[in-house]
Order: sequence, then structure tokens, then C-alpha cells
Amino acid sequence: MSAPVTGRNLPVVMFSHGNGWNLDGYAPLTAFWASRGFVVIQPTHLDSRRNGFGFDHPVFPTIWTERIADLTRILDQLDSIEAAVPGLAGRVDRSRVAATGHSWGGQTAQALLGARILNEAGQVGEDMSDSRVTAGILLAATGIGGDDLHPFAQANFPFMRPSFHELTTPSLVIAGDRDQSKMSSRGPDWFTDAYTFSPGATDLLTFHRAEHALGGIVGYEVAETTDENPERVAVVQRMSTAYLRTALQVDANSWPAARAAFRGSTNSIGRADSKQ
Amino acid sequence: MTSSLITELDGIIDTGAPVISSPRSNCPLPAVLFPWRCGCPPL
Repeated sequence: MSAPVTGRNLPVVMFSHGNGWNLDGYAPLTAFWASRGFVVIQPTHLDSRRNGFGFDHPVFPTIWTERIADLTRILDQLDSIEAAVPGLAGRVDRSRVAATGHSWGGQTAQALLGARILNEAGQVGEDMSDSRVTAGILLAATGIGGDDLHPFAQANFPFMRPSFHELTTPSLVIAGDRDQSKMSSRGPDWFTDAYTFSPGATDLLTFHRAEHALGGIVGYEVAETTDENPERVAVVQRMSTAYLRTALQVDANSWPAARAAFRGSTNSIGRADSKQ
Repeated sequence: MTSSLITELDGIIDTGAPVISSPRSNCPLPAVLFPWRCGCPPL
């Protein structure tokens, strides 16, 4: 958990890491959010490389549900978590909570926002949404399943069959237009499906020339960043912060102003779409 | 320029403040369900 040293009534942002990562990742985003007035909570999910569960481990098929349960557990046990940070007690506003995540973490977060999983017959599965979560940000989150999905993913990743029609919580989707996943033959627009198919995801930022790490949000000088671009990361930091400020009722004007600035930039770093 | 966009966005969001963090632990949160893995006490 990270939080600003000062301030009261601080909104909560849960962040779910991508496959294999841990609570120490994503500092470019999470430390930035914390410094701008949010209490940021980062679990280490079971798929972390620190735990050593590979795709062939017996526990692996259940990890996607444990990931979602991790976020629910955070909300259930905020008393204990809040007490773990000296000086934080009494400064957290639990009525304002966002669920965010990158890649597999986006899939994890979107379940609390309302997205479901389709079974093999195409039927909509269990509702795992959480009414305590009032906003979301999905960064490079995978899209819908189907024949475009790689056979390995079809066989081993049931969570890659999402249904977005039930995602009704206000959310921002962030994607890269050069994010070509080996899990799907769809192309980079696969990562915009949450925006395309859900009623709740009202906003989409598509960054030009961005790949899966969106310029380096996973960490500073991390090898898996294939598109290192500090300026892109700086814009992702600020645009996501502006969205959180408006979605979590810190400042109604932040997101409209940031979106207008993004669209008006003379050096087009990306595209901002909105249903509003 | 992207730098001018960053400056403009900095004017929209709050100035940064120092950050405090909780003690770091490698225990996965679902230690309640997987105590055999790390020996962590439940939260």
C-alpha cells in the first residue's frame, strides 16, 4: 500500500498486476497515483513468479478466480491493511474505490466492474462485481474470446472469454495501437474490446506506437518493456490520474480538461474516444 | 510537443506529495487459503 503523507478522505485505488508480476511492480503508475492523493493497494497474486506456479501446476487453473478474490479480500480487510501503514489510520475514504489493472490484471479488475466470463457453451457466468467499486481503469486488458484466440489460450485460459455487456461501472480503457498479443490473432484492437462492448467503459485512450507495456508502466528499466518511452508513460500517469480524480469525485473537471488537452495536443501521442 | 501536453496536464492534476508505503511482504494475499505455500499468517 502506498499513500500520500498528508491529506484526509483519500480515495482507494486497487491495482492488479499483469501475469507473473508482484506488489513491487508498476511504480511508474502506482507511486504517481499515491503522490497525487490516492491510497494505492497492490496485492501479489498467486501467479507471481515469486510463487513459482507455472501453467502446468495443479493450482494454475484456479488462479484467475483467486486473483479476483484477492481484490475482494482487500476490500473486506481494509481495517487490517489500513493499520499496516503508520500514520494512515482514519485518512481513508472507503466509499470511493477504483479497481485498476494491467493485462491479466485488467481482466481481474474488470470482474469487479461487472464483466463476466462465458462458459464453453457461451453462457454468461457468475457475477463477481463488487458494489464497493465505483470506477475502473483497464490498461492493455485482453478482449473477447472466440476463434481468434490462440488454441493454447482457448484450452487453458477460461478468463479469456469475457462478456463485457455486464460491465456497467464507469471505466477508462487504455490501449496501445501496436500491442500485438501472441494469445490472439485479432491485432491491437483486441485490447479495446472492453470499450467497444461494455456500457460502463465510457472512455478509451489509444496510444500511438504503444505496445503492451504502454511505454514502460511496468517499471523503470524493465526488460519486458518493448516500447520504452518515458514521455508516453508520463502522459499515461497524468491522464489516468485525471480520470481517477473525476471518477472518484475528487474534481469533476479533471478528466474533461485532460481529455481536451490530449485531443488538442499538436504532437498527437494518441487518440481519445468517448461515448459521452 | 508531448512535453507541453505533460505540462498542461500537470496544471490539471494536483502537485505531487511525498508518499509513505506499508512494509513489504512476499506473502500472497490469499495466505488464508495457501498458508502451506509461504507460511504467512492470515491477515
